[in-house]
Amino acid sequence: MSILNIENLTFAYNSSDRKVFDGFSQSFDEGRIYAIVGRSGVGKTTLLSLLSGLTSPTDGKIYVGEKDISSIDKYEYRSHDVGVVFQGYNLLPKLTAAENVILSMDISGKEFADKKAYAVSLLENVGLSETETDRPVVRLSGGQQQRVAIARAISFNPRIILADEPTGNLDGETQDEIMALFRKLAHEEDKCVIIVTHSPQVAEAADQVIAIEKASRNKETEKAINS
Amino acid sequence: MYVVKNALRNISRAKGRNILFGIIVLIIAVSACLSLSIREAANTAKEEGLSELNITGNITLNTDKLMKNAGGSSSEKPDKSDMKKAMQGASSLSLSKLEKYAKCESVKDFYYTTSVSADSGSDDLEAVESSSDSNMPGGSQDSSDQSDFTITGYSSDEAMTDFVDGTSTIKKGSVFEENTSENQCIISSSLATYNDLSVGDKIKLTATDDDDNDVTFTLTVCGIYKTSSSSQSQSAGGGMMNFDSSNNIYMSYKALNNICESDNITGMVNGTYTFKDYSAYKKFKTEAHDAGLSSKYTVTSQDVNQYEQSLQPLNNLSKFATIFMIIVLVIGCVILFVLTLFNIRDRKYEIGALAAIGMKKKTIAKQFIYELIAVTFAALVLGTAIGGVTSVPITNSLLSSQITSQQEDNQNQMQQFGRESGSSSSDSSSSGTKAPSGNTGGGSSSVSSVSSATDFKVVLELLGIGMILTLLSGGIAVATVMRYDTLEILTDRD
Repeated sequence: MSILNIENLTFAYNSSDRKVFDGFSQSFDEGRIYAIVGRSGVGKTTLLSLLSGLTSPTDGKIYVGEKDISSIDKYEYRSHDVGVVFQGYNLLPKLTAAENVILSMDISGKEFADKKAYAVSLLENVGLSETETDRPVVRLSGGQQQRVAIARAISFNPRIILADEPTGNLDGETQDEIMALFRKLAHEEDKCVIIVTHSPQVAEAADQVIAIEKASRNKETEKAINS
Repeated sequence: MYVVKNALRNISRAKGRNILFGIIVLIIAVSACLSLSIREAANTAKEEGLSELNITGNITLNTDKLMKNAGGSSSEKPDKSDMKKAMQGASSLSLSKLEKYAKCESVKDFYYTTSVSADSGSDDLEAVESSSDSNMPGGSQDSSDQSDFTITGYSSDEAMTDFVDGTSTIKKGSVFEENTSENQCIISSSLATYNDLSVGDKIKLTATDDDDNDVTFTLTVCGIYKTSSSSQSQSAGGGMMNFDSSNNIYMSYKALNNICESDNITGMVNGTYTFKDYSAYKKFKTEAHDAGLSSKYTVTSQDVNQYEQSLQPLNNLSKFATIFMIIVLVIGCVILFVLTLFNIRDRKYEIGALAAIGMKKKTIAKQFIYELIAVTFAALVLGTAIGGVTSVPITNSLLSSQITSQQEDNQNQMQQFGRESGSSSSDSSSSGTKAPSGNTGGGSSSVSSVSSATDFKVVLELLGIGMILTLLSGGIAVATVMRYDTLEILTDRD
């Protein structure tokens, strides 16, 4: 079932700028992993910003379920329905890894039995040791921070997970573990996982690959690999 | 709830920033506490002093107004003959009129006196002569032009304030009966010693009647009093004369009035009203005019005037403290605003990161305000405690400097006038907010110390200042947070 639906999306940062998207359409279903690929600067991260409600389309519509994204409370949407793994992680550096995860759970307003225990188990799932969970993120390596960002994105049980280069700083083994986790979330917990990546291995692990090219041609270049 | 928890944790996470903010609020709080405490101490001293004061008032001619009405304040050259006419036309009120105003609701009691100037009527009686030099700048007055004695008739015992407050006491004999019509009098011990008089002796006095003829009458001494009043000069008839207070002779109003009526002598009637408290005195001012008192007259109280004069150093201090507080508040506010602005700009990324994971901007702003409230409140409590503990010694120290400065000014002035400077002014060491008790003589004691300064009202005012500071700083925080675009923050950082 389609949870995100993009219809004739047009987007430009400024009216005078070139269009990043021009009549782009795509639907995303629950229970599937999508890999967004394309050359640098083609608009992959912009697409995630549009899907997460951080920016609005210049033209066209994005539907979350039945609702137009422009009509819903974006903060509510980001805190409840969509978990985002940002390219720059966007963690709070003075908070510990666990506190970063717990903060996301707090903001969602959802009920959790033991937030601290749940946050630690999530962090351990993405490969952090127990001592590392209580360390301020500023003192963690790039790879460890990336894993904290992933744990934070899935912590409040969102229906949609958007990840921008989630394995960019990870070694091959950890990358496989993270992809296994995403697959489990999609296939067993019915989440819609959308990953922006340059990694062929990640793209290969996805259910569907969406290649984005220049704005004028992206409608025609969309293709499915593992549908 | 998590917002409050997060705000409190953020305070400990950014200690340096919050300590700096706290120190500024602390300085503002201590300064404001001291200033408000000084102001409150001055107000309390005034209120408590006035409530303890036995207020008496008199109806006197409003000379300023009379002069003004006669053209004294116009830009043209004032017409002195008009002014003289106006002054002569305005006489003091008759006893019946004074009694009419005594019926006002605010008046607790009313008593009156009549005074007559007299000279010795025989060689056996001589006035005590003052040793003071009578040559004064501005025209000396020859003592031979003045009467030797002043005879005062009192309507009641209460009217004899010197005896009521203990300034004068009977040493021999007793005071004449209240309202007696017998020609009995009491004289000072100095006058008695000087003339070898004792209780039961008779003295002859001569006064001038309305037709400028001398009339002689005899009084019997029924008592001899001793006075601790050091005043040598007394005001009589509106001018300063070198008159020794030992030459005051006291008797009952009724007896003196009988002499005046039978011998056709005009005495000077003076009515004194007593009031329950200061508000009653204020009320009487309106009531008397409503009851028909002409605007040529005004109600005055020497007690209130002297007490207000005694508060002058404290009032001056209060005024300086208020100005100081305003300056500290303005400078402090500007520093706080700038600091808040820099603080928010410094935390721009944090705002972006929180908004990106779905925290509403108003919630972010709320969290920042909670942080401000917590730091401000902590600094305010500490500042109030420091201010409260130090306010009394600091107020007293500043007050003492203020009094010393005022005393030095007065001494310098006295020296410039060639007078002795060891008078009774400003040497009161009363604790608390005691009002000066003496109301005779020229000098007035100053309230020289306060026993409490920071009270609940000051704490409430400080809380108000803290809230205003927080709201203003918080307003800046909210406006700045709401202005930021989440994606822009995150993109800029990237």
